[in-house]
Amino acid sequence: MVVWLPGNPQTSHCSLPLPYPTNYKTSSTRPEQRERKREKMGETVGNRISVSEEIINRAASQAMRAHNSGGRPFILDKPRGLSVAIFAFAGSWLPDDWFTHPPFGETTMDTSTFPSLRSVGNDEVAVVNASFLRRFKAIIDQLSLEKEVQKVVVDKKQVLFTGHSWGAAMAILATLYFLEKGGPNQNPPRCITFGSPLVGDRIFGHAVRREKWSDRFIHFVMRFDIIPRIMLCPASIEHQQILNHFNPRSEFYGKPIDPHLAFYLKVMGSASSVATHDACNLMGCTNPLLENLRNFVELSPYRPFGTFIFCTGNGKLVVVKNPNAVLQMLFYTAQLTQEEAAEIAQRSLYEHLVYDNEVQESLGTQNVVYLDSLEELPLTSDSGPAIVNAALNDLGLSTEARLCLRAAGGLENRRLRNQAKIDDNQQKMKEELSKLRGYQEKGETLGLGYYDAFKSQEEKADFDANVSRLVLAGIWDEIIEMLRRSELPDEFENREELIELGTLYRRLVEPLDIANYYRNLKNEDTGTYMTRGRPKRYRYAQRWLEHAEKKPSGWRSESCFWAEVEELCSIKTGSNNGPLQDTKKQKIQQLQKRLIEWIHDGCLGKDVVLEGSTFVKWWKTLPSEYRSEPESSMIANLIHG
Amino acid sequence: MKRRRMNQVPLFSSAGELANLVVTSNLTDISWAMILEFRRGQSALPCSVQPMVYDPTPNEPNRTIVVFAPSPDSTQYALSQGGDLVPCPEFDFLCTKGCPSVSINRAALTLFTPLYGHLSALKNKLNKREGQLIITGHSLGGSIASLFTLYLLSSMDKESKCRPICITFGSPLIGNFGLQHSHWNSFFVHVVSNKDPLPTLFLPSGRSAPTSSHSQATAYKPFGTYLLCSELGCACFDDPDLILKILTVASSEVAGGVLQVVDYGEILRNLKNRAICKGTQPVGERFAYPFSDGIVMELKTIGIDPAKHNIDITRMEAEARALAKKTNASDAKELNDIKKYMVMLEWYKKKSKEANKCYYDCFKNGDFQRDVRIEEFVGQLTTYWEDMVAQAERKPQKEGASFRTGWLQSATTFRRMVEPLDIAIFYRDGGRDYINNGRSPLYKLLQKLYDEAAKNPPDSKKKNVSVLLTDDSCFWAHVEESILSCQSLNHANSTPEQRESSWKNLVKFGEYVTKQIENFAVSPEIFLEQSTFMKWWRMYEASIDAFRNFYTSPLVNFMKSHKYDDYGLPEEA
Repeated sequence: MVVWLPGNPQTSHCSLPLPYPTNYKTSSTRPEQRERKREKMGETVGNRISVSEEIINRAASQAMRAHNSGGRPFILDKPRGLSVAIFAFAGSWLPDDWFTHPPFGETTMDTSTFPSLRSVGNDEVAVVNASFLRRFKAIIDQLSLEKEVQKVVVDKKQVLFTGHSWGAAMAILATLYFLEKGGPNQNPPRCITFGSPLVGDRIFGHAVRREKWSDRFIHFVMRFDIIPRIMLCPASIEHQQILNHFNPRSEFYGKPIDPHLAFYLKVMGSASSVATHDACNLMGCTNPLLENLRNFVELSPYRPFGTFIFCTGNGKLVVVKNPNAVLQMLFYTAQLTQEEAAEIAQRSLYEHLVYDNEVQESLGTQNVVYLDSLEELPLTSDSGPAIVNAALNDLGLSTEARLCLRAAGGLENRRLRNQAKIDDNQQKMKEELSKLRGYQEKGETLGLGYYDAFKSQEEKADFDANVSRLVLAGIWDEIIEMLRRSELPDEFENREELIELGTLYRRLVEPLDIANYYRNLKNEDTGTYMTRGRPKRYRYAQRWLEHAEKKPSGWRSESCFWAEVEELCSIKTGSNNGPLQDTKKQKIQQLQKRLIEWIHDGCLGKDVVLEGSTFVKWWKTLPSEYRSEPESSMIANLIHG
Repeated sequence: MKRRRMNQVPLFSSAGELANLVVTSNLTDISWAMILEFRRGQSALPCSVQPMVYDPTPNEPNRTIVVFAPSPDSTQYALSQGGDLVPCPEFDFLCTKGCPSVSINRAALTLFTPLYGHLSALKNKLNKREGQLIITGHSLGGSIASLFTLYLLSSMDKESKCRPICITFGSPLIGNFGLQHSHWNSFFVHVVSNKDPLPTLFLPSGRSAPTSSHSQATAYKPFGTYLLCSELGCACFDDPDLILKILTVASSEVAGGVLQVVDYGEILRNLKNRAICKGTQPVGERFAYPFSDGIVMELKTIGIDPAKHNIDITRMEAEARALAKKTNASDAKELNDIKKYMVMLEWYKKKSKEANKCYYDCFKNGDFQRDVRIEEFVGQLTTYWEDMVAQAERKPQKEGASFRTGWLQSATTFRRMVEPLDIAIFYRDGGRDYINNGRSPLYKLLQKLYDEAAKNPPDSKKKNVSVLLTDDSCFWAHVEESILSCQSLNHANSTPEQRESSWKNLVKFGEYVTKQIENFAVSPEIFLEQSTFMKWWRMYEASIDAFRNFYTSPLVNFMKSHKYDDYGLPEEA
């Protein structure tokens, strides 16, 4: 069922007075060849990405049609016989809808609507195109999208968002919006885009992969299409020219851009800077100049994510998932040779408008190459598997380009190796943790909590615990350093066993770090533990748990209990400064409340309430106005049994 | 060969990528354009050497550009002064262990020295700027631009919000100093065309270097990143030896005779085009190993044939591999290991004390060593600190100093904890006069650094004395020497002169210990019954009875009256 129809679907969406020569289409495969190829390959691209060819084709034609839907933000299509509902978003060529401000028009993600779009441990918020976000929120505010999606979900149909060009950006944000809202039993939405501009930055893509949503996004990109590259270039005259060329309301609509090469060189120059900059990092460039250049070179923040399917323009499809490889391909596949420069510049405009035909044709031939093992990619045009090489040649990938793709594959493998190394260390970590657990339990039976024992450092066991603490700190600091340098797989922080181990570690060992801090009186010359002394390894582990449990920041601070006690102890009670006393009173009452919760939840040990512990000694000296019921008697009960 | 490579992490050479990033970044374009603009306005002043400062504009509110482009006349004059290296104490802040005094090319100094006063004022002005600061120059102008940038860096502190970069075009080598281990290296980009004879002018195989002897000429050292280019493309290198080699090769190949003018504007346009457009590299050439074949490709692009010119790619690969292995992540682990070893030593010290002994004496006698592998820890700690000191020494003096303040505290704890163990071994094996014969350069250096730093803020005594380490890490060497003095005093064969000198030494030692005790600078553990110090005291006491009856001193009183029993105990309230 088509809800909204903008005219005869048979006519091309492309009503441009075509300035393009018609000999670009060079699909040479005849129908009988197609059949044979499909049999040989066995698995079709549709199987591989688990969307049927039929649905992809349908999405393509809906996306192209919706692009000119005239005021409606999206059209909804529920094709008969297919268990899918296609939401296709309309396009826009208004400059304000592409860039709010130079150079790149980016803004930080609205984390109340998109809470997952940030890095967890590093705690950086993703960056998104501000115009896209603003317009998408306007669509959401109209409520019709949400209602329609609800209906489809009730019908148990797969929700598919699609869009062409600017509409693709809306489809991406819509998909993320409903992925964030999705319940555990709900079939998550999918997204297929055609000629989409880049929407978010490196952290944006990282977050999507961490949440394991990456496979929900399929992006079709024509080899020379200018729009998927446009966000790599700062807002400029050339930008305007490109948008005007496509805008039916502009006086330059469909007219050749003058001068005919400058816009293409401008976009490709910026794309080159971004690609070479990233390639230097992928290749492990050790020249410190690279770092300093960042202060002088204006680089676009936008990066690709999801599965990219490049259309070679002669019926072949090349599927790439590695986001770094995709970025390199966005530059290298559109690289021009000096002889054909003028032709390619025109083609970069034309190819933005032919997705429906090209996709349909390519899906028919099923001539598909998957660039999965990038590290084994043939470096020259005559080596490696013929089919891979043919596709790489069709995309015009030079040796330099292939080296960059290999480096992208190399980084991913290095990340996996780093993760494997950490996994190898898990046994060691568990051993040290169980030693410390023994230390904690022994303290409980002897009646001296391990926090206080550790702080006094009297026994051999205390020294041994200190050694265990340092062994563990070494392992965890190495992990944190790798995370800071993006040297671990994107999914790393979403692994349950890591979050669990990190929580266990944090609850058991952080009290020792606090004891060490206050034993050496570092609070006197450095500042409080919470503000100046808390190691990153604990901050990260706490954020992992809070993210997994969807809790606000600071919710899981039980491992800092002792630091709070130490700080409260150091403020003298009864002195005559009113405001300080008031905040102190509040803090103490808050702490008592949380203490009961924490002990009840089992995330704080019983050693805290042992008769001789620093906490109990201090708590007993508290004047009655600092206590409140029922907490006070509950704590008293805990202490006595 | 192949199998070996298969097992290793793949390496890449990014020399070409980095060069493309520089040329597409517009930094080089802007710099060159400003040099041209300056030249156009300059024609009225034929002998000008002074730089031009282009202040931020509304279009570029964050960018200041300083252009050095001395007129052709002044350049000619300066070049005629010769290319030898002149010692230049003004730049001694660049000294490293490998380069104890800095020398600068005479031609560059000829232009730089008269500007010194002017540049000093400019430096103070620019130091306060925020944002981008591009310092650029062509040929000898580039040399002064580099010198000025170094001068500016030397007075810039960490908090400065000014972000400088120095870009030179076709500039000759400047001096004998290197910056390879310095953060400062990242502030320099030298663009050099293989057609330009000027950059290699002062190299030995260059055609002219009239006044310089060979040994002097080879003392030139490149620093910063060289963006080397030919008509075919460009590549960035920062390995000084490789750069020197490439420049030497280029100098022998540049068409001789006249100094031809190279148009860097045209070169940059060509390079930018090549970065954006597809390379002419014929795909299909043998290409199997990303690093080695990649670097060969890059070298050929800039007109160097590694096979013909004897460039050792295998060595370069090994060095790149070593660099790639060292990561910040492994640093984090190492730091915690070092802390762990210190905790182990602390435990050894405590265990000794529980047995009523000093850890110094336990180690000397070899007690508990089976429990704690002290020697291993000491070895690891020493290697670690030697490495840290070496790192600091390779940096230019000023930068090295701020690097060291970060760890001096830990280094001092290390010295106080570990040096007594070295002293113990030294005297156990019959050594004499540790301070002059046995003390390692590492301890001497750490002590020196500590003494220099301690001049300003006094050491805070926050810890209670009972867990304190003795401040003077050579304390035990003094004790051992005093035991030897006692022996000499008592020895039947000693001459009266020897006795007199021994006695003097003992009196001096007594005064030293008194002072330490008054300052609470020694650990109370030295008074444990079986310590070497107490052994000395008993010998000394006997000597006093035997030789100088009724001799007294503050230390003798302190010891005889057992005041040490209360030493370091918390005072009664």
